[in-house]
Order: sequence, then structure tokens, then C-alpha cells
Amino acid sequence: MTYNRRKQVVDFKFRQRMVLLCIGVIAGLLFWRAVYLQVYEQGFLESEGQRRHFSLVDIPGNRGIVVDRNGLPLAISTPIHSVYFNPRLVSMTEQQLRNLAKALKVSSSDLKKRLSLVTEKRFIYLKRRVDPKVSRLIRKMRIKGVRLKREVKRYYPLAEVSAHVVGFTNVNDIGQEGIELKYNKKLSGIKGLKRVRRNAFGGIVEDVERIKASAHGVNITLSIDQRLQYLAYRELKAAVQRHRAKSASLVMLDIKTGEILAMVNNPSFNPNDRGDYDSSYRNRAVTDPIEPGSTIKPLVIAAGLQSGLFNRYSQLNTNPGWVGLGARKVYDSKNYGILSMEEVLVKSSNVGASQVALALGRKPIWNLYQDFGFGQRTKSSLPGESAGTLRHYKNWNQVELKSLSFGYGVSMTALQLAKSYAVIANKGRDVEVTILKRTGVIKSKQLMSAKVASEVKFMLEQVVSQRGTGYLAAVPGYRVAGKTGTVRIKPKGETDYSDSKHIALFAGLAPVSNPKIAMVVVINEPQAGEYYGGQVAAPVFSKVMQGSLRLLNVAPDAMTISNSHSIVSDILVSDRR
Amino acid sequence: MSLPLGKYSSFSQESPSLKRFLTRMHLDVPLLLLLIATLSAGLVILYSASQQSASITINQVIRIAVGLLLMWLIAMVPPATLKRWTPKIFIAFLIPLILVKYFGIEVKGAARWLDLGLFRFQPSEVYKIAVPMMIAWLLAEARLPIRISHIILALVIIGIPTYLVAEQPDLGTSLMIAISGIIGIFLAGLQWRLILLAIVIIAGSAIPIWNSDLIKDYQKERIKTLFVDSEDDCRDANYQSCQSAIAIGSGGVYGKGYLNGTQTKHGFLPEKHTDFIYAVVSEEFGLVGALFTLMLYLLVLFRGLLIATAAQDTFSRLLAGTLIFMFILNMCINILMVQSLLPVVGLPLPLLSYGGTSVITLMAGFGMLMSIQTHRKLI
Repeated sequence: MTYNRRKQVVDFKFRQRMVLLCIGVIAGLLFWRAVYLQVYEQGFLESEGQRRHFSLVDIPGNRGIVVDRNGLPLAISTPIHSVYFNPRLVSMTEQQLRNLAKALKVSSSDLKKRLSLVTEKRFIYLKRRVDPKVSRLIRKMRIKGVRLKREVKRYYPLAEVSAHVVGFTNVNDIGQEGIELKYNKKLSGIKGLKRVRRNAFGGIVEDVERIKASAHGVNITLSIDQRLQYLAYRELKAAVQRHRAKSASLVMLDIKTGEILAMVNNPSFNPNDRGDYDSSYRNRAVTDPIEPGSTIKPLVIAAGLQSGLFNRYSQLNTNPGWVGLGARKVYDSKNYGILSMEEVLVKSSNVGASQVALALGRKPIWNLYQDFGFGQRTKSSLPGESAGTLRHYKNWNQVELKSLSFGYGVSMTALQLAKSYAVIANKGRDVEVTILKRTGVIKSKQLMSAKVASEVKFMLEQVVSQRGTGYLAAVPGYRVAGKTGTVRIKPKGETDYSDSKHIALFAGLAPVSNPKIAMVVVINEPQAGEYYGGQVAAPVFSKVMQGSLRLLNVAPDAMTISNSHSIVSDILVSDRR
Repeated sequence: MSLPLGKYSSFSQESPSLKRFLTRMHLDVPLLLLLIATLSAGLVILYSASQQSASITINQVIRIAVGLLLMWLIAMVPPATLKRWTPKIFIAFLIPLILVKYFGIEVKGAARWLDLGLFRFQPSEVYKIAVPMMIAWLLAEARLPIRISHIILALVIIGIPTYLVAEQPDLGTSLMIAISGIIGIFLAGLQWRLILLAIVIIAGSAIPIWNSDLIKDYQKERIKTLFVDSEDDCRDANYQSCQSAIAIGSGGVYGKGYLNGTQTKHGFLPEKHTDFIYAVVSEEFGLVGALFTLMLYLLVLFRGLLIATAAQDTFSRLLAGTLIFMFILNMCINILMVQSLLPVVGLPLPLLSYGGTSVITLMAGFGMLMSIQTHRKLI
């Protein structure tokens, strides 16, 4: 037993050394590995660590803001967060998945499917531009691989009111429409770059260095006056509702500078909360050419006066009250007989206008229309602008020449029409229109003599008198000149004009003694009974003009009690064409 | 033993009265000092690893205190009494081990803990000690060479808890239990021919075991990652190993400084205050800190081996030898795992990792070593 025990002890010691040897080998391996990792591989592993800890992050260069002529904001950028994930790192518990799904307002199963996407990408958006509340919630969740990215969202304080002019950006902050599109390059800032240290959850722990500084985009100052824009939008919208119109546009120009003071359309859209693209996105005032109808007549009269064939005392025999257009006849409201030039406008006589055109011939009319820029885009800088159509005079026949004299066969945008009236108001001088606030010298071109321009202007003033078609456009305290228009629409694809679809127009200027504003009101397809330009468009003109003149502190030039400054007449005008 | 152990047995001789007092309390002074040193170092690391969480650190202090108390209580029990209790302990704890399968708290798909209200209890931990005790109990009186019947009985003793723990599933712990039994049998004097035979059988059955359901898919995945090029990216199964290698390597020779480990501080290192605490040591204190830690472990090993060699009966010798080897093996496996040389099996680093059951089991084991050392009769 003793021997056995001693032998056992000797054997135990031997075996203990065997185990110790094994452990020694393992410990040796361990020691070698420690040295290997911490001495030989140190550089590599340190850089691997840094590759994971540090990352390059864009410093967004803020997009420039868009302001109106008085410096009030029309488009500004506000910081907002987008949620994204890294498919290589993402991992979360069931509870976290449920919370995340709830915060993003999606179903857990959809979210799970999306997260388990097999891809080589390291960056996939979960949701762009979430509410600040949601982003705070997600930050608190600290889910591995789910991160927040700071982005900017464009905010448009005027929403619908200036949506068409200002336009909007897409989710990537790139301009899509309007000024945002046109001046995207100028507005866009330059992205900077910085190195940051991140923790395992993707949160930025510290800014390490700035690699490239960011630069802000340039601010754009528009010629728009926010107050006038509001006013115009409100009145136009009200008119569209009252007359159940399909759409409407309004353009207001500063006569001296060519600046667009207001440009509104209805229907509009909210650029802050957009739906799908539809026709409400169109800036109709520049994209949709219309036939001007009777609103073109002042230009024909001006051409007649300019030619020397007519003067303001010229008489025209409009008997028998109609004019033949091929097989068809176009009538005046009644047979007016002998009319003066002024009365042609006041009564809106188609026969009188066509007689002037016929007397002049094709070329002078075409020259005038050409000079006024019909068939050419203005230099307004607004994207999507239409040139309208003006065929070359060599292709005109007698029928076309006649119809051109009362505004059919030629088309133009509301902006082009407004510009024409600005020329008449501006003593025949043409100033390029612009949507940007004008600085520096204003270049202008004389399109007709100042004498002719002012003669036409005074004739147009009579249109807004009690005996004219446009008396509803009158503004108390101010002398207003303008012309109504009621245009029949030729529906697309059809050869003939519709009897029931009209465009109600009013184009005018004020105050007559020292014109400041030219304005065009277009009401498309009024459906509530009334459709004459003098009934539908003229009241909008009156309200907007009245408010605008007051807002712009324009001195009243008609200090009489009522607007009976014009020749008193009890002629009831039934024809407003 | 020709190891320089005398040095350690004498370093407390400066205060002989205190030593005499502690010995009377059945506490082995060198081992106690080494343990306190290691545990204190552990608390310092834990504070950083837990991202300076006072509550985690204080929790661990409480557990260490409970562990030390348990160690002292066990140390006062003579080895003979321990031997007498062995079969009862072994059988009694089978009940919670079976119950845990049905009533255990599930964490990440594994039911390992029983909730006892006041604290959570992990029955599998008990068998890290109970199996070595039982093997020592069985083979202490066996004559050499060991009879086949004894060997079969020993294999059954090892097999039952190993199987039950593997079913939880807790592959790491179950392997450690099996290995502890095998070391016990080996130390007891298993014939060399049988050892050779066992090696052949294990090698031969490796492939069928791999293909069976015994090893779960995620476990296989972890093992596979060892053999593929892991420098690509930190993903999936490879994530932990990769981040841990970065933590260790980037620490360099001198480390990044206490509380300055970026892998630790910014959440890249997984399980940083439990299984991967060695990576925190390496990152913040560098190779120097890592080697200092290894030295502490080796000193504990040498003191333990001295106790085993000096033990006066076979039961004590086998038990002390097995326990101290298991302690050091546990440490080696954890560190190799953290160094990404072994698959991630979920084994804490003894004395340093955060975790109640681990500390308490360990201290119970050290209690037995102290009991063996301090109950020797002077011949």
C-alpha cells in the first residue's frame, strides 16, 4: 500500500508535468499571439480600427435662399434628418424592430424584409426627411447599423401663392421647377467634407478635421412683391371659384422696369407637401399660349396710327356690321355704322379692326407683332416658357389677316400680352421683362412713337369708362386703361371653335397719367354663366389693381368722387368682345 | 517540483503572526494575496470596460465579497469531509440542472439560468467543480492500473452533466465540464494504451459529431470563420473576433491608456465587460498590461500546483490538480478566443470577467485548494 501510494505520487507528479507541458504549449501560443497582434500587426490593426472609427462626412453647403423684391423669403432651407441603414452592420432585437417600424409608420414585416436585403451596398435609405420628432426617437433607440443623415428640406413660406414662380426642389435638393430649376447651379452650395469619429452605433462622437470647407449658395432676389402676389392669388382664386373656371392666370408688370411684380396661377399646389405631378404644376402664365382675341386690337389701331394712313380722328364705316371670313361671317354686336378709332376699341368692333388691318396690309401688321415679341420667348428666365405662335406674313391670306386683327390665329402667353400693354403704357418703349429684381441701367427699345402710344392709351382709358366694355375694371381714384377680351376656344384636335368654351381676358394699365402697373387677367373656361372678359376678368383686374396701387403708394390721379371722369355715356354695351 | 515556488510561499513571512492567524483561519496566504491582486486588477479593468458604470462595478464587488466568504467557509471544511459530501453534491445538483431546461430563463435562445428571486443561478457552473470532485472521489481509492469498470463509471459521471449542459445549449461550459473530467482521469493514472485508444476514437468521431445536431449551426459558423480569411470585413459570425483583434492590436506595446480604449469606449468591442475583457486590458494597457495579467495567472497556477503536489491523500491531490489546471485552461481558452485563435464559445475570463456565477464557482474551487493546503498534518 505504501509502495503503491508512493508510486502513485510519482506517477501523479509525472502526469501533472505532462498537463503542465500541454498548458505551457498553449500559453506559449497565447503569448506569441499577443506579441504578434500587438507588435507585428499593430499598424495594420490600428489602421483597420481607424477605418471603422473614422469616416468622411459631407458638410452640406446651404442652398441659397430665394427672396422677394423686399427681401422677404420665398424659399428657405431647414435642416432635417433622413434615416438610413448599413446592411453590413444592421442588427436589432425584435423589440427594436417593432419600435423602429412604429416610428417609421411601416409594418414590422415590411421593415424586416427591407432590412434583410442582401446587397453589397453600405447605405440604403429607410425613409427620407422624417419629422424631427421621429428622428429624435430613432436616435434614442441606438440601433446598430441604423443611422441618421442630416439633410436639408426646402421650405416655401408662401406655399401655393408663389409655387409656380419659385418652383421646388426634389429630395436631393436639386431644383425641379421654376426659379429653383432655372438658378439651381447658382443656388446650390458647394459640399464640404470632414472627418469624424463614429461610435459603433454610427453616432458621431467627435469632429476630427475639416478636409474641405463648404460654401453657401448664392441668394436670388426676385422681382416679385410678396404682398402683390398674395393679393393677386387671393382674388384670382376667388374668381375661379365664383365662375367655376377651369384655370386662371394673372401677370403684373412694372411698366418702367419690366419687372414681374406678381405672377399667379390657379389651380396651384403646395410645394411644401407635394402630391403627384398634374396640370396644377404648370405656370400657365408663361407655359400656356392663348389667342388674345380683342385684347390685340389696340396694337392694330396703333399700327394704323403709326402708318399715317389713319389718325385719331379717322372714321371707319363698319356697315353692315359683319366681316366675311371665307364662308363664315364674324359679326359685331350690332351694326354700329360709322365709328371713330377710339370707338372701335370702346365697342370692340371686329369690323373696324379688320378694316384697319386690311388697309395696312400683311407686312406692317406682322412687323408690329414681331416687334412686340409674339412668337418669341421673353427673357423672363422662367423655365418652360412658351413662345406662342406667329406665322410668317407671307403665308397669310386675307382671311388670316382679318382674323389676326381681332386676335385669332396668333397666340401668346399672358406674360407676352402684359408686356405689350406695358409698351403702350411706357410711351412705346419696350423693356425686357424679368423675374429678377432689376438693378442698374434699364435698356429699352422704341417700338412705336410716344405720340401713338399715348393716343392708344387714352383710347383704352375710354374702354374702362361707363360706355366701354371694361367699366368693371375701373379703380376708384385712379385712371385705368385696358381692354377686354372674350376668346372662343378651339379645343385640341377640333377644327372649329367651341360655342360654349371661352377665355375671359382683361389686359390693362394704371394709372393712366403716369403708368406704373400693366396687368393681364386670364380666366379659362368660366362655367357659371358669365363668360365675357368684361364680366369675369375685369373685376379681378380692378380689385388687384386697386390693392396694388395702394400697396405701392402710387399717387391717385383721378380725384373726382366717382370714376365718371370719362365721357358720360348711357350707351349700354352688350358686346364685350 | 523544481519550480521557484519557495519564493511565493515565503513572501508573507514578514508578518509571521498575521500569517499564523490566517493559516489558523485555513487561508493560504500566497494564494489569497494573488487572488486579491487579480480580482482588484479585474475591478479596475471592469470600470473601464463597462464604460465607467459604477453600478456594474459595485455589483461585481458584492459578488467578489460573496465569493471570498464562500471560499473561506469551504476552506474550513477538511478535505475528508468534502470527499464524504461529494456524491451527495453531485446527485443533488442534477435536479436544478434538469429543471433549468424547462424553467430556465431564456437568453439568446439558451436556457442556462434559474431565477431564484434574490439572484440568478446557473446550475451548470456547479459541475465545473462537482465533476472533478466526483472523479477524484471515484478514482482516489482505485488501484493502479485503473479497472475498465471504473473508467466506464467515470465516463458516465462525466457524460451526464456534459450532455445536460450541452442540451441547454451551452457548448462552452459543457466542453469545459467534459475536459475537467478527462483531466481528472488522466491525473488519476489512466493507462497510456487507453489514452492512445481514446485519442484515435475522438479523432475518428470528430466528423460524425460535426455533422450531427449536437453542434448548432451558429456554433459551426463561428468555428468556420477561423479557417477563412477574416481580414475582409467585420461581419456576422466574424464580427466579434474581428473587433476584438482590432482592440488588442491597436493597443500596441504600451496601450492607449486607462479609459482611453476607443474600441471599448465607442461600443465596437462586443461583450466587452464579460467574455472579451482581455481585449480591453490589451487595448488600454498594451502588451505590457497583457503580460502582467498572464503573469498573475501563472503565479496562481504555480501556487496551485504546489498545493496539489503537497497534498497528502489521492482525493485531494486529484481534486487540487484538476481544479488548478481547469482554472488555467479556462483562462487560456478565453484569451485564445479573444485573440481570435479559437471560436467564440462564450467562456468568461476567470477572475476578471463580469459575472456572478463564474466568480462564485471559482472562489469555491480556490476554497477547496486552501482547505487541502491548510488541513495538512505535519508529518
